[in-house]
Amino acid sequence: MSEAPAKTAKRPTFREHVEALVDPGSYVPAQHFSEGMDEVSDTDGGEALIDGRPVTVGRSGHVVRRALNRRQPYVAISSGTGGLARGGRRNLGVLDTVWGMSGGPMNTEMASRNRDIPVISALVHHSFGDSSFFAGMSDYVVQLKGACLALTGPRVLAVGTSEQVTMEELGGTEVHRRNGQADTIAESLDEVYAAIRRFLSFLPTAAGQPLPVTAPGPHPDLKPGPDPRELIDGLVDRASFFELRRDFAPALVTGLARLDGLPVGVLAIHGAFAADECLKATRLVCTCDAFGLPLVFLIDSAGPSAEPGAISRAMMLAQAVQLAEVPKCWVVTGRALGAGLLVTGPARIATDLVIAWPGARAGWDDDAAAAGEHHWAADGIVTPTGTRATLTAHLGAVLGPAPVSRPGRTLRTWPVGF
Amino acid sequence: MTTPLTDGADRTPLTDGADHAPLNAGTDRPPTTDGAGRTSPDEVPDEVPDEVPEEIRTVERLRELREQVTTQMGGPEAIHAIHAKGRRTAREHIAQLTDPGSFGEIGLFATFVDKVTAPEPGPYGGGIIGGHATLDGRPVTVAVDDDSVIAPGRRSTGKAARLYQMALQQHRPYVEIALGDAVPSLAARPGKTGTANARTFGAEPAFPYLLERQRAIPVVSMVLGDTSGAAAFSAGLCDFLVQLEGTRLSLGTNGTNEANGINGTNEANGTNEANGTNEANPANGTNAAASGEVDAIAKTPDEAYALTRRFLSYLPSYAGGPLPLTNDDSPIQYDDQIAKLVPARRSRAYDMKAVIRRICDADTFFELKPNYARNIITALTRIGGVPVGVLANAPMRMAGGLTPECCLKAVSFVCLCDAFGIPLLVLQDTPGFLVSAQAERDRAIVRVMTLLHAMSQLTVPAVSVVIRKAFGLAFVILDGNRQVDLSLAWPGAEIGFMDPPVAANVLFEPQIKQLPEAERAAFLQAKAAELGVGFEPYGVAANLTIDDIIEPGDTRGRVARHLRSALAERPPRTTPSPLASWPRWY
Repeated sequence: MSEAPAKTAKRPTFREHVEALVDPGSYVPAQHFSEGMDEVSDTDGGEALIDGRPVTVGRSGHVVRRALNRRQPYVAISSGTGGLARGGRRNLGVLDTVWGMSGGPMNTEMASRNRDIPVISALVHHSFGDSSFFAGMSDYVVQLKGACLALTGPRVLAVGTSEQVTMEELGGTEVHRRNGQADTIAESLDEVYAAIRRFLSFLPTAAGQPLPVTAPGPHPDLKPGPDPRELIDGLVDRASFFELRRDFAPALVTGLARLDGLPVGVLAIHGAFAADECLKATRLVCTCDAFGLPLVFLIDSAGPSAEPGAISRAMMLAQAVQLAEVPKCWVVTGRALGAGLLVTGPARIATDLVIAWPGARAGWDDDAAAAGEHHWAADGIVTPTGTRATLTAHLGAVLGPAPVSRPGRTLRTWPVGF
Repeated sequence: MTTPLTDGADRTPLTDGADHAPLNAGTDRPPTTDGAGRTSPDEVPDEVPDEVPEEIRTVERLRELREQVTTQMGGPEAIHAIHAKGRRTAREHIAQLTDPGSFGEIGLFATFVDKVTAPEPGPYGGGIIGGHATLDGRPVTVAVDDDSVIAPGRRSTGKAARLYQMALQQHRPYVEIALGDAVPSLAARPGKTGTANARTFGAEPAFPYLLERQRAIPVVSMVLGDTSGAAAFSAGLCDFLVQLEGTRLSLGTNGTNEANGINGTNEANGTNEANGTNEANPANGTNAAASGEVDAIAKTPDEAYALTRRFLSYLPSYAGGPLPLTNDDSPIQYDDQIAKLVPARRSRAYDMKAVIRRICDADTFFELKPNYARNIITALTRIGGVPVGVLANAPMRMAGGLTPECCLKAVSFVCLCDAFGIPLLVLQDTPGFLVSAQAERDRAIVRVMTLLHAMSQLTVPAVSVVIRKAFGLAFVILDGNRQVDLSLAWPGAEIGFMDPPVAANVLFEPQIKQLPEAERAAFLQAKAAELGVGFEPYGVAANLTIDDIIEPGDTRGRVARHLRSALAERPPRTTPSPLASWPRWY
């Protein structure tokens, strides 16, 4: 088991985390303290600025109601032992244990927030119970190496089920980088803070607010090839690609990026849409649709895999893409075969822009594709080097000069964790 | 799309189809203007007759064709081949599934082949036979793969789309029978399939409608033959998926697997292994059942029909429509036997299904996904004649502890019930979510929280009853995050934040370590008892965690009375349930 940072160095207090995360001097603690907290060494949270924009920061999900009411992003600095040590020790029973915490994940407002505001969980230490539940309902989860994220701790497992596991084995970064429950794995606290700021930089402060457009970034150099990351880097503003869930479902690369300063969600497939790839894609499609970010798909796939469970997951993704109301662009870079065509959209359903590279092939199978149907459904054949200009021109025309996020109506109510 | 499609004998000119043509397909398509609707932008037929020949217009010709189409289907050889395999043709499936004489066909003359210019009339039907019918007297729309013509050809997803659209507009369930490795016609193929008709039929997949269905009408998919490709789409989008034992169901084909490089020599990934019958593992029936996607396995087509009828008997014809109530005016009796089914000792297992059967009306227990995540039971039933979805822990399986798969199963069920306005009854007896390293790897956190998310958004009348024990987050979630109408408990119930012996062990770890070995057990017992104070139902009823403590024998009566009044008093729903748009599986 890798040593938790807390064991080797003094653990930062909640307040120290906040002050390292937010703009200097901007943190104003909330004036109202929550009931039921018996380990209060700081406040439970408050308001601050990140890159000049307002956020609410709270400890393990506290004061989230303030963010929901103010319609601004919420960042949970999460480490916690759950309700056990609090309500349990005081013998208060279920109601106080799980309901007494104002604004906690059990809060029905949180459970039906409909992605109105971005919600982030930063797992800076071991997290069980409430703070883990909160992570399960967050749009973005960053986990610090050495921190454990689990429903409950190894001690409960040892007593309750006799299973002996370390923190790392139970819910360490190696577990959650592979099952996709952590969007980012951070090696250090500085990386945690930077990741939060970066994630927020792509999103409006709330659904329906202006998109945070920046000055157009430097143009990249495109090297056409099979590697999806190189393709993405070659299309979006230089160094703007912020990858999410890197080691989960590796055939699909997902993340946020900028195109001439406009934030977009990018999904690049190179291989099969297996169940995990569909889950990975669906989470990002829902997030982007809720916050008005256009979607750019780079397609090189022969379709869904035939594993059990793939049908429903593939159809789920197809539903998500169909129901997404943000501008959608498809670039067929290689093959777009079989149900993959449908799963990822351009079956002439609600498409905004479908372009294909010369030599791209689309059709039900290789035979059909080879029979010259690669012009199928495409708005045009565009060279790799011309792709960026085509995308930016299209999105510029669709969104206008001062784009406001126009959140979709349906996907925002979908599940948050996939 | 509302373009009226007409039969092949009277080709109403179609509009240009601007609403469904590819955006800027690179051609300026001229409007289709000639009476036969055969002008195609890429290939104008050499011989366009000025008029349709007179003999084609006669009633005799229509009768002759109709007779020919309905009896010959894909030809005598094809029908013989189907029968030789002991199987039924699409028309035979329809005749057996639907009420006698109720079938009214739609799209009889749909086809991919241009019947006017083709030298030989090919098979009509477009690979799908469908239309309107009744099941047990209630209207449905059916669409059945016609494997006398589709193999190995393509399927008119456009016809499925039209039939689905009709079902949607006419507020009736859509029932599809899938039995083919169907390659969908994905695209306009000007110059290949020939006509504007073909383009419209073949090019518009059923997909957009089904993808946007949001459970507006019930959709049933019956997989009665090996199925892949387009025929499998609705399997991933339906409300009830029944699969015939021995059939294979997959989205991709072997071709797509090989193309993805995922098949190769690894047979385990091959399509034939993927979702097919798993003879080596008969307990699971099919792998698709093992993956939880299939709601019911049928041994015969007749059983599949019966399962479909049964399923639909609990559902309204459309979301927001009246529930199909049965006339059950028998008085609800006090049940002095039900308490005997549940052992007082909390470690003793018992059959929760027996408890459910006593609470619901006789012979109305209809379990969904019975072989998947068996620690939780999902069943459609009736109580006092009202359709009710029952979500219940199964103490026979892992003491009723909940796994991530249980959450999947429960979410899927709750979405079904809420979307169609079916009241929910939750019967709790669980030690909580089963925690383990494996569960964490299986994404326990997001699955558990998705169940919380779903239960928090319930809009249907819902009642929760704690039969014996309910702890921690599992209680909060199964209690609907306080969203249920009525939260009840039997007098023997234990409700708390965690199983007291476990909680004592965790909370008092430091003290336990300091004690001599001999004293630890007694210390733990004392602390567990201390923690357990307030766990009895009077403790939790005192702080309104539950609303009432009821006599077990009165459970059925209490639930029936509540549902009756809740259904009578609630204003009709004006907007769909937020859960109606959720995927069927996630």
